[in-house]
Amino acid sequence: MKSMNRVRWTAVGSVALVLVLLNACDLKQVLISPEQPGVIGPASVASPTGAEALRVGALGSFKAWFAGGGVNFANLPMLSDLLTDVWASGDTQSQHNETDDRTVGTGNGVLSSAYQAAQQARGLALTAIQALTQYVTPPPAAEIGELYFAMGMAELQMSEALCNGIPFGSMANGVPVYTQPITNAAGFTLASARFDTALAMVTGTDAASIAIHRANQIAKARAQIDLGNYAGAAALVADIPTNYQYLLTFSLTTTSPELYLLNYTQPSRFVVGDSFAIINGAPSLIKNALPFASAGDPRVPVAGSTSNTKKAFDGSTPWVGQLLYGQTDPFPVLTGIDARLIEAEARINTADFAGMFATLNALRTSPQTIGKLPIPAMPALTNAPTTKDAALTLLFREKAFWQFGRGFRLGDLRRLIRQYGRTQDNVFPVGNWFKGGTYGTDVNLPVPDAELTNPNFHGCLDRNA
Amino acid sequence: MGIARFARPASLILMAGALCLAGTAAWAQGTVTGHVTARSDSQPIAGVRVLALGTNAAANTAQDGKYTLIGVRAGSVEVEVLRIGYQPLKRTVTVTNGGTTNLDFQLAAAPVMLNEVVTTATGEQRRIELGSAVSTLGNVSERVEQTSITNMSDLLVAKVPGMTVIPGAFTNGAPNIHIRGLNSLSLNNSPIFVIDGVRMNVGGSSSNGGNLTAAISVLNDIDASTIEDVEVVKGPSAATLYGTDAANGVILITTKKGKVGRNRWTFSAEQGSISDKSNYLTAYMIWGHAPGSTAAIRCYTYTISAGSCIADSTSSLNILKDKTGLSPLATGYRNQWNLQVSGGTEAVRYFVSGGLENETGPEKMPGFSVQRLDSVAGGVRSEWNRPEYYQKLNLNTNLSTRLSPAFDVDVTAGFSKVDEGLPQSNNNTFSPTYQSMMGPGFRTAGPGYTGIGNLGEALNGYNSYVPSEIFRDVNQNASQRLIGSLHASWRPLAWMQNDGSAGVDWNNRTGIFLCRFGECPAAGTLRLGATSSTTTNDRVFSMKVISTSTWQAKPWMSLKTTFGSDYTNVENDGTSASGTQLPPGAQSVGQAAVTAASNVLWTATKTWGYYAQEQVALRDRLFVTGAVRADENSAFGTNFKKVVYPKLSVSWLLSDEPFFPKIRGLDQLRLRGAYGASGVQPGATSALITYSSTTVNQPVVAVNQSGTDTPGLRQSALGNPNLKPELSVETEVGFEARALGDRMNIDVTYYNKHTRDALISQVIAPSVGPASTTVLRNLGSVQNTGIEATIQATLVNTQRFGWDVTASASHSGNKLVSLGLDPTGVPNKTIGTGSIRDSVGLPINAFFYRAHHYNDANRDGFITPNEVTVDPNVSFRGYSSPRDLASVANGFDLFSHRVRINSLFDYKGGGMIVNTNLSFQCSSTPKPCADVSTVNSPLARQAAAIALIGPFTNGQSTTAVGYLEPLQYWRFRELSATVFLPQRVVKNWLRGETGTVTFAARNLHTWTNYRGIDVEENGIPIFAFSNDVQNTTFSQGSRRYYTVKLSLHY
Repeated sequence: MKSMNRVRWTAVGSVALVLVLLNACDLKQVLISPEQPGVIGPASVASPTGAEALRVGALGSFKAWFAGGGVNFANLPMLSDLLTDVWASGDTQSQHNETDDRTVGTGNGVLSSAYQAAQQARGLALTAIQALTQYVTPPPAAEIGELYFAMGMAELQMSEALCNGIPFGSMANGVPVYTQPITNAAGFTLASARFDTALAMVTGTDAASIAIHRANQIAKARAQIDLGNYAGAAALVADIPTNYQYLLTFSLTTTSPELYLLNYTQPSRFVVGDSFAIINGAPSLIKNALPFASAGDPRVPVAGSTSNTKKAFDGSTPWVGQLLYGQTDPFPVLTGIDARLIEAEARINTADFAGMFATLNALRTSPQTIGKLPIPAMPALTNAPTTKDAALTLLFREKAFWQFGRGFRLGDLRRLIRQYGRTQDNVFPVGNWFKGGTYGTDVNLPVPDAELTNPNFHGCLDRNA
Repeated sequence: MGIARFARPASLILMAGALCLAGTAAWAQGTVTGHVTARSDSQPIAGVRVLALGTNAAANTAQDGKYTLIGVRAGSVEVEVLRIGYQPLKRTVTVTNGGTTNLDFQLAAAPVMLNEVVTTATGEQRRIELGSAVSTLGNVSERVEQTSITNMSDLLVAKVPGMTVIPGAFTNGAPNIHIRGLNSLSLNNSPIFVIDGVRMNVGGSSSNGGNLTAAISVLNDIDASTIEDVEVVKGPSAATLYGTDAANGVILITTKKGKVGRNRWTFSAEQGSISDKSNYLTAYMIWGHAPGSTAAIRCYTYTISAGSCIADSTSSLNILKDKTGLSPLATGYRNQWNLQVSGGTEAVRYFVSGGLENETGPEKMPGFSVQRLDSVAGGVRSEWNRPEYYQKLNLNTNLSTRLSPAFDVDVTAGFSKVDEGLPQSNNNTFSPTYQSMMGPGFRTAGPGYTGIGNLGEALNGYNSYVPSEIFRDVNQNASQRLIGSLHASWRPLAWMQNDGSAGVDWNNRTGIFLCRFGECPAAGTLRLGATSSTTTNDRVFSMKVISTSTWQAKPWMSLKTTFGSDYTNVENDGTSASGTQLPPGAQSVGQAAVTAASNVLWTATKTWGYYAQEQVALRDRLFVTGAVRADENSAFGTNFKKVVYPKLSVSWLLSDEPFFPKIRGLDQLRLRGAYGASGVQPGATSALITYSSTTVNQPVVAVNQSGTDTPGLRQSALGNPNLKPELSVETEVGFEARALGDRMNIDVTYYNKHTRDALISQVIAPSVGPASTTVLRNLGSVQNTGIEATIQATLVNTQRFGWDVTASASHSGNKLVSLGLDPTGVPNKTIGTGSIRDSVGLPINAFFYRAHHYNDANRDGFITPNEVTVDPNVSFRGYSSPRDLASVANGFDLFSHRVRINSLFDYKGGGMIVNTNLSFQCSSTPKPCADVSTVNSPLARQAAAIALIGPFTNGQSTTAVGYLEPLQYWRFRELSATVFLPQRVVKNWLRGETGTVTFAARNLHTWTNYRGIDVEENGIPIFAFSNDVQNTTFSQGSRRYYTVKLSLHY
């Protein structure tokens, strides 16, 4: 009898406990509802203002991979310039060093981050375009056009810097849509299509629409140059004013240009490149390298020198800092000067060497502005080239100074090989590398191993220029 | 706000518990009282656990050895008394309804000291009832008093087979703790901690304002001297009822409680030194000249071979071992004071403790830097002079009251305040370790080295910054923490006990970084002044109700039924602020010209679990326990509601069976087996699609040269509505044997754990432009197996001399069984592309490297890039964490037990470790490593360096495999000598009862072939982080302690 009572007591008490706990819906809600007030969820972006916020975020991502980036790590334009003579590595990080000496591995973590940031910015731009189209009536043409510009610039810059075989896929409802890797030429065509979409869409006459339209014109022209369509490219930019600049701006409270972070102040991880390096205490010429640091050219103002006793981040490389882009200075993505240089190159390809020479001198002899730095008028060039080869050498040297640090140089050096028949050892830095050993033979950056997750990707199609 | 959120569910749970337990009825019950004394000298024994078997009645003996068991069911009851150091004793007594029965015990000392009572999720249980292995440290007070225990890591390291503890670097470094290896690819592999029933936060570590300092441990907030015992519940088979998050094991900490009797005071004072005897790397330089030149240049082995450098001489400099005033390391010191009092009556017992601990680490401004600061800064602030320090204040109290014979309330509160400073470390030019080991290999100007820093200071062989600058980069942490709990126990009936508890672990942490104007290294704009401050609040709320009923169904069978429910809410929030460009003298963010701030609203992970357990005891020698627990959790995906964990265990005291033959020398044999499941929950927001805010400076028109800061959003996580916990199911079997007249105890356990639904951060290729390149999915499964063994033996136990030894060993392994399918439906074979990968058939976090080969083809004694080939493909190179653990602890009692010598040696092996310091030294300018900067470098070492740095013109990749070394070592962990002060000295001179003086040392020597700083270098915040691989990048090694401690008992 007692046993039965115990069983009953136990059962009744326990069942009551369980029932009370299980049936107290309100209690359960309070106990385990996933309250996360610190989290911004999908509902926050399902509105016109939410779509606008996504647009701003997407443009921020564009700025980050193109001109900003990680504090200690190069973005894609800087990394591509590091492979050339624009920069030298003053860093301890092997990723920067192996890029500088032209032996870039597919496991390079800095490259992986730079590549990922550029690809992600494409996706975020597309997401913003979709949100603006869905939630804003009518869809804002200029804003969407600017986002297409951002997408196209990512595809263009990657195709100029990376090897043949870059995939450009997309996300659909949170699911990856992997595509086949494409050649660089196909990448330029893809980018051109983005710019075409923007150009067709952005037809307004307000200042913003005009600025975005012009940016797409120059960008498409750059892609056409990459494809060898020189005349078409020149036609596209004919109406671009020389003083036009599409600028990315910075502030103390947000981000700073990566060139500032990695180079502007001593000691820095990058130093401005030169035509020589100090090896074992003595100057050693670097074949094919331009003297950005020592030329005294007003387009590349510098502090320090290649024989500086003040050192870069690694404690041994003489520090040379560029003075174009300070902590809050605007960074030009594309400019009217770029447009003129496109025209100059088109003239070379019609054997109008004098016209090309005149274009270059027109730029030099007038005051210009790069970012916010006024460039005073410079003396005109003398000794006009009479051969295509000499004209190319002159043009690409001028390009290198006008476009210093903006991610043009690698694409240009590759084009000297691909489109103008030069060999890599007559274009890229070769010989002894100042930190030991010799320069490698890379003429582009590989698609990093991070892409191997893509089942269609098995490495670069080729590493040719 | 947090309290309100907590209070409501708390009250509801307690009300619910009260409802179901409402109503009491008189039941036949009585009282048993008695006296427990030692058989050897009839002295009373305090702290004996007295249990009325088959009932819930339990008590502890007071200082006079007396105990009182109330509410014991009437009838014949078996009473067992258990105390560590004594043999268990059982006697039967007849309890009369309403009467008091006397039952005395005399206990014989046990040569081998085992803790016979352990704490489980459902309350106290005898060890023999458990089907799974539970390790107890036992008698922590004695360990703390008689060895050099400076923090919780010291207490835990090398004490439990199967538990890997790698202590942290620097003072208060965060340890890396794993039990039975790794079983999660993406989540934390560390055990959870429960202190006095309250879930304890151990995951946070202050950020030092975001700078790269070593991880610090909030685990060490606990004062080891206040701990009564620590139990290690090793796997899901034992941890089932601890629910989601317990699959990695549970470490239960029980703090000291008041004991019945007069006030007992304990005072201790400790003084000691701290030194760093690590194998810091020497920087080398081969001096030479180019052919045809007399100018000195730096040679490397490969440039000598290439003929571009002719070697003249070699120099070397080891700054960290330097004795001439260059080293930033000196002798640190430590002191600690503790005062504790305990006492009370049956009605009210109390324990109060206070402690103060100070450590000043070995980091110290060297003399030449002091001289510089004297001249340029007007002196040296103490925070610059000794940047590594730790100060901790602890206050703990416990009050246990018996409000009625059927109702007890126990309140525990512990407060700690920690202030700490650390220099920078890791892969960081402000790290003194980096600066010292990456120097040129000489002190003054030479090739590639001016010897003068950016501020005109003499570098003295440091790479680019010297301590006079980098130690002015101030990094400090402060923490205030309160861990409190309220426990109530109600026994309305002789066969029913209801327990409820609620507690909170509340931790506020602040990290500050400060570079005043004109101070710190000349890097970027730092000397314009910079500061930052981060504040983090971690809150863990725990509540629990349990109802346990017992039933003596038959004289030979008793049943114990338990229903329970518990709730855990882990919350955190924080703020951060930073400022740059400080005016002279300014120190705070508000004084900076440019400021930025952010705050994180709280996030919470809530778990509500409920469970039932039935235990059957047959003749008190066969114990079968079955249980099931269900958990709901806020971190699960919206499509996943509940997880259920079953458990079944059997413990069989085989040697007590009549049929078991008498085997000479064998005193007891127990077989045990357990099956159980548990889980690890995803992160609080892992299931959610989330967006992050971003402020973008946007021009109104794209041609404008300046813009306005504009708020924006970008998706940051893809979310997964199907997310569920990782489910680990474990089976373990083992036996315990006592032999040779209880002089030896052997405990062997084999386990097999299978984790399915393992969370994997599925990588998404960047080319699709994903908002996040990973998404967490339940894709994988992992198999863990292992064996653990412990032998405790008293080899000699005479009046004059005693020798006891505890040896333990364990081997564990894990294997990835599956990594699920990739987005296209193809089975994943490998995740990861770097040197750490997860690959099917291989262990978690396996090392993968390309092999290299070399041949000194021209036989010139040097290796050049064209003499090294690197395999094109990577291959598996080994585990990244130790698999084999062993320890040997010896105790010697000398001079008629007046002196006790303790020693502890431990072994770790079976894994690999990357010697990052050396590889960095060889690959980064000025490459001062021995491999390429000494002319007599062995060919194999030269080849390792060449394989690492190349450059190769044939397109082959570089590899760091030459810097992957076996993780294998023995460490002389502890040595101590405790002198028991003569009674006359203690009583007459110190007016105490007993007293000891302990001379102790820690980390005395390491036997290893590892060529890095220290095989236990532990440089990044890995404790409670997903990356469980040791990082050996310019941190520092284990510290050697020499201490002397006086302990007096009154």
